[in-house]
Amino acid sequence: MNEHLEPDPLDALRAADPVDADRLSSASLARIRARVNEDVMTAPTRRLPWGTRTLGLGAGVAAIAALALVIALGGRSAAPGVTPGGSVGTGSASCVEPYSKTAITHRTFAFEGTVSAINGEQVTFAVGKAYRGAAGGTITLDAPGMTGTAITSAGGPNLAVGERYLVAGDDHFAWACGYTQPYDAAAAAEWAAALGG
Amino acid sequence: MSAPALVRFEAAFEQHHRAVLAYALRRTGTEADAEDGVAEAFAVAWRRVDRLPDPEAALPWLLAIARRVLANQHRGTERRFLLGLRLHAQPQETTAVHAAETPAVEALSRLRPGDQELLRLLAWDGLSQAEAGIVLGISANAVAIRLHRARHRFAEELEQVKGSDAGRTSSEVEGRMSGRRTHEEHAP
Repeated sequence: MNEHLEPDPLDALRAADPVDADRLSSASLARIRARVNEDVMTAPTRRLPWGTRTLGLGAGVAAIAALALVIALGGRSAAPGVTPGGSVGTGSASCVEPYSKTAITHRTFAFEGTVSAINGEQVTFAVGKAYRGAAGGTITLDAPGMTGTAITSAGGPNLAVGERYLVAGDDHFAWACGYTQPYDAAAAAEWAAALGG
Repeated sequence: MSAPALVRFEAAFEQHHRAVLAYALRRTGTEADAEDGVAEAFAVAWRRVDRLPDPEAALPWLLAIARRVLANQHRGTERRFLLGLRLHAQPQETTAVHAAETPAVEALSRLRPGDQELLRLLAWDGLSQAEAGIVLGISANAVAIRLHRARHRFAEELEQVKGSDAGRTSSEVEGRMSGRRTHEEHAP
């Protein structure tokens, strides 16, 4: 006997799903990552079962840290190129994924370039040498906390027009924490070696 | 520092933040509201990280938090809206997220709110019945009973909507299916 299968009425509802979870806005996701990262790092210690709150463990942290936001704990900014990851109360910075030659390979773009314009937190670079993901010419990136507009430090340099930098990040964000730093020949050689540039 | 807790939180975020954002987008009017809701939900999750389930299985727990956050957010939005009406405030520019006005969405809107949410969790968020029960805070048995009723009601309403659409002009039905409001097509 042939079994007659009734169509599932919920199939019509599934087809009417207003959101494609595979095509969410990358900007929206990046903003959420940044906010969650900041919440985690600034949550009052008394509410947490541990005493420090430095993010930076495991590859998953890279995802939380799309903006690589750094909170300068104790009100002191991290120096450019610093390897962050301090603990609460020491005045050092916390960073979501500590900068290293290996960590630089986790970023989707990396280049050496000179700042040609700054508009708020958007910075335009004339790309000198692309190590990864920057085709050359000019590129405009969001660089939160690195243009002198943020109250808290992002642990990166205070970018200035005409100055030359090494820049790495994801999506359209330049990361701080050493991923964006004043140009240095030795560091540039490290980036080139790490990224095969 | 409780590294395992932090690692578990990071793993849960990494595995589920997209699903939580999709959940929020489906239930809020704007992308901005959805982002606010998701960020707040994970902030709450972080504060309760000692109760965070295994990251693999954390989605229903996270959605249960998001559900409460969005409910609070909705109440706040209503208050602000009413205040805005009193102050004659201009609406802000936002990116709206709306379900297309399909017969299925129309049929869904005719169900009880609790039944609507159960069907959304299953059909849109892809949860199992047990997971939906966690989100809604009801037993698996209660989910099964409610689902039986909701599915039946939904099928009935869907048939009615389709039947009423069949009696409309083709342009009206097309307008509904494309998410356009029919009154716009008859606007002078």
